[in-house]
Amino acid sequence: MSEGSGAVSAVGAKGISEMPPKYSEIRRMLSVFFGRPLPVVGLILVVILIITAIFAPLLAPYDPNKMDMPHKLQSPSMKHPLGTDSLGRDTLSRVIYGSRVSLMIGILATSIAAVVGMSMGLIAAYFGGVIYQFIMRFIDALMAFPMLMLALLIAALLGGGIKNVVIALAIGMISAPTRMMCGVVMSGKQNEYILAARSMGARNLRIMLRHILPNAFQPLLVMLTVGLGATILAEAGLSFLGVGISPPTPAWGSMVNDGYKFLLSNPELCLGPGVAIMLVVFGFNMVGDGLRDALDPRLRGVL
Amino acid sequence: MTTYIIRRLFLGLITILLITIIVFLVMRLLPGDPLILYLSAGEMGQMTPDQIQKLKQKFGLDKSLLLQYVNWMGNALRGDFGVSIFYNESVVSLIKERIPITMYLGVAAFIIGNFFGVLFGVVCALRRGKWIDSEVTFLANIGITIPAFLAGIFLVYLFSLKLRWLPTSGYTSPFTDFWLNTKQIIMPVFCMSLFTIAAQCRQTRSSMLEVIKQDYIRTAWAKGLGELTITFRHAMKNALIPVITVMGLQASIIFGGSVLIETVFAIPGLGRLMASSVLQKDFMVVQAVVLLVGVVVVLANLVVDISYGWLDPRIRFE
Repeated sequence: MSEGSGAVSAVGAKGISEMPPKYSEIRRMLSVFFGRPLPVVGLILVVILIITAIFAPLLAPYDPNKMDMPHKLQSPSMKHPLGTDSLGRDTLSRVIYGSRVSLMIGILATSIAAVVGMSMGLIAAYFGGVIYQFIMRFIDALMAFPMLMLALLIAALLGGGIKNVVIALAIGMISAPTRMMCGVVMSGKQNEYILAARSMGARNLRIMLRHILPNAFQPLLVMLTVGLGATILAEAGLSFLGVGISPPTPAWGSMVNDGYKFLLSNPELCLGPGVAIMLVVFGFNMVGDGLRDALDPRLRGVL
Repeated sequence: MTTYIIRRLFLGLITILLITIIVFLVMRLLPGDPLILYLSAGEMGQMTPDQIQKLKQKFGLDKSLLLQYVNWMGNALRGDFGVSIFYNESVVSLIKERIPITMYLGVAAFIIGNFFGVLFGVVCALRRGKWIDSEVTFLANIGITIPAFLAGIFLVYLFSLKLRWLPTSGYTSPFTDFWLNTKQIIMPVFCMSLFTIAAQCRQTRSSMLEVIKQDYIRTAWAKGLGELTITFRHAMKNALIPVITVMGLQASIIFGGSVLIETVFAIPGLGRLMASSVLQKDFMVVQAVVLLVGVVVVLANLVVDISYGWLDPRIRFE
């Protein structure tokens, strides 16, 4: 009897290891993600950023645009924890409101780049041939330009402002989602279940949406997080150079630029928003890294 | 190998052609009059529509887009990129003055970044799990996310303003005053190489860990070879192949970063020229710099691709 039950349980165990229930997969991902300190730190930073952006009016002690010339360029004090800038505006309030600009531009530019890029990648890989060559060679050429230079050129031609910066950054970012999607579809197309679906009479659109697109979900998640960090950084760079968000709107990059002149007398003017940019970029990168390790078991323990 | 090189060259040429088309179309098709390429906004505001029409004819802007492209391309191939509105000087001579500076800093950052990145990566892989590995890997994870221009500002604050060890900004030719030049470029070069050090450290570490697991390394140990011989003569050869791919990405990162770094440190190179020309709406200069950088990046990637095929014969037949 003991032998018999042993055999049964062995078969049972084998069955389980081959077809694990779904929840354990998610639990495994969570344990990989939360198993190391850096992704957790990154996640906390990202959550802080989102909360700050949503509740900026409640958190900021002052109106970020209220000028107060008699109290300009004050050093940090209890009243102004990060001092005031050259127009007497409270730096802490401006850093807090700056999170809105960063997050909004990051989300808009990344999602536009993702939607347009992934559609292009999908079309290129699914149809192949001339269309593939045309789109991918175009992307190759686009990739030769450093992202910041391309965005700088486009933002300079379009002029500053949130809308134009979003367009410039989205164009600068477009190659990653295109190549990602193209890769997913190219490798997905070769699977036998696609052939099976086709033999059952499934049409192109259905095969794409139901059978190929879900494979893109995991790389998409990683790409979006890393991309958000990259766009926020690029926006800061553009604003630092003076072609991004125009002055009255509080943007971290232009605040760093404004404060750079006063680096000796009022370092917090420049370092405050600078640290904010660094923490946010760091946060998104670490979350992206953690997601990649959690979603892609092949990379576990390698990086 | 020859077919592989020819195919790569052909692809590279096509990419360069597309780059020129992209730059041309971006300059012509985005909103705004294409005359802004040749005239400043102030000059254009003072003109009558008739004068503007005459100027358009003079610059060939009344012709079809294709003809305009052919003309533009012909001029570019002869090395004629027009005249800068702001400097009233030929764009080519402006660029020629600045390129050596950017190249000097860029090459220095490239060498330092790759040397230390690979070195740290190898050390981490050989001492996997020891304290040095976890410390360096941790630093590399952070280093890869630090924006170079912010690092520059923090360094200026610390080393120039607080400690007063290094000049805040500026550039002197190394032939005029080598010591001053060194002091001026330490911080910018470090900032430009920061990402490379971190990225190459991570890449080298992971590919070294892959390689040292393999049978031929165990054989080498079994033969009684020393750790140094195994690391440098046997493991590194294979481990460095993916590292070289990452090197190909450096050209783009260094040029892109130079726009910000040269602005922070007031270095009169290509990047600062680009940044200031954008603000001055000096589009002839912007167009030429972007075009040049794109072509250089393609050429750098071409070199990497070819050396990749030379190092790893499997690549040639894909």
